[in-house]
Amino acid sequence: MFCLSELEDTVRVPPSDLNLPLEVAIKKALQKLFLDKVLSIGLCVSIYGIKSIEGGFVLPGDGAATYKVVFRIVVFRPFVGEVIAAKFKESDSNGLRLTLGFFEDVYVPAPLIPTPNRCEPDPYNRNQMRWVWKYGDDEFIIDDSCQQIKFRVENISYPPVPTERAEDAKPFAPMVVTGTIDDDGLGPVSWWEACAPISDDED
Amino acid sequence: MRGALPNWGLTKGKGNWFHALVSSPASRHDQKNYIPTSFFDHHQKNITYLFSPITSNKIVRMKANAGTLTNFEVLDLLNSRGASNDTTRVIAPISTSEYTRLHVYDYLMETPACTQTQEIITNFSDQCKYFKLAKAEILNIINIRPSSTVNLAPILEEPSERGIDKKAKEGILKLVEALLPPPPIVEARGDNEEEETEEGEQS
Repeated sequence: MFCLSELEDTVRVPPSDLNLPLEVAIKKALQKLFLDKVLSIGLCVSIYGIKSIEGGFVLPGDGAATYKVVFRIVVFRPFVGEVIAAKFKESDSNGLRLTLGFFEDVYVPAPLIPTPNRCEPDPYNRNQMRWVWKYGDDEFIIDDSCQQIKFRVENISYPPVPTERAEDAKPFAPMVVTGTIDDDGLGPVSWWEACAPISDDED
Repeated sequence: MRGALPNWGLTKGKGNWFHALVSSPASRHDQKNYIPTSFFDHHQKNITYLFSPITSNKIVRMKANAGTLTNFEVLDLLNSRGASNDTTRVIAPISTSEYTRLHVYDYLMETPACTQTQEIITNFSDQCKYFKLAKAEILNIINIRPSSTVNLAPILEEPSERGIDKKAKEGILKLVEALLPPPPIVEARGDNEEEETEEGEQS
């Protein structure tokens, strides 16, 4: 789920931070630049460490010192095929939306929900639709009561920043993870709790 | 060019149960020398030149994948930076750098990663060699800790074609049972006063 990435960038340390020890000031500037931002490599979670710092030049007309820094950051970038446990956030007629707490743009589109299924208006929440999986004679509901939902990553996409948006459009998601719950062991954890553990003979 | 940088983030956390369970002195996170993923190769390829997202006229040189991290390693890193220190969350207002870190920390504390240690992970990945699993599958198993065949199913890719039969799957599950500690008990959300166990507890 997480990777280390090594980056090299030019960092500007504002004059107000110049009284701090150098690595603390640079780390502060790096955090402001990269934390919580999505790069092409993923969502930056934390600065892992600084490998080298060069420079320290003060450019004309500017009070800040500029450093060339090589550093490593921890990014959230799941690989295709990874199984992740998430929580239910909302669902609509296109599919489900799951959240990881720190990352909320995990979508399970309708074709990747196990069939046969149906989508019905949620009796508890007027604006939402509810997905129900029909297996044999039983029906399994996917909604807020599921503690954990496991999904497998199918695709990660980084949609380009839109130039124009409607007023009421959803906030732009720079990184979208598409998942599937259509396989053994995936979907709400409660669906599989009834299965026997390894000591029993099962196929 | 500066030389070796001192370690930072020495945790002065209170002696909560997590610290007792996972002793992780910050000195292990010597940012210059510590190789966190002992069983993953460091891919030296993928050096790409990109435009920095922040100042679009600069080029950020990067190595996209400098090592994959298990959930435990990220949790360990966050702990060594003091994420478990509760006073930070209650008293001080949460700044941007804390927000993501705390959410990732909260998420990881509910996964099996919070009961693991570095030795357990290294030991487990060594033992997995007998089963000829792909590195991605070993990572998945460590992060998810499957406790039954049905939980293992979405992780293994084409098991029948690779000669992983039922006996091998049981062998893998027994190894998981023996080496990886069970995940924590998660309290149910909502009005449910009893504690509900995660899928790992049933075995």
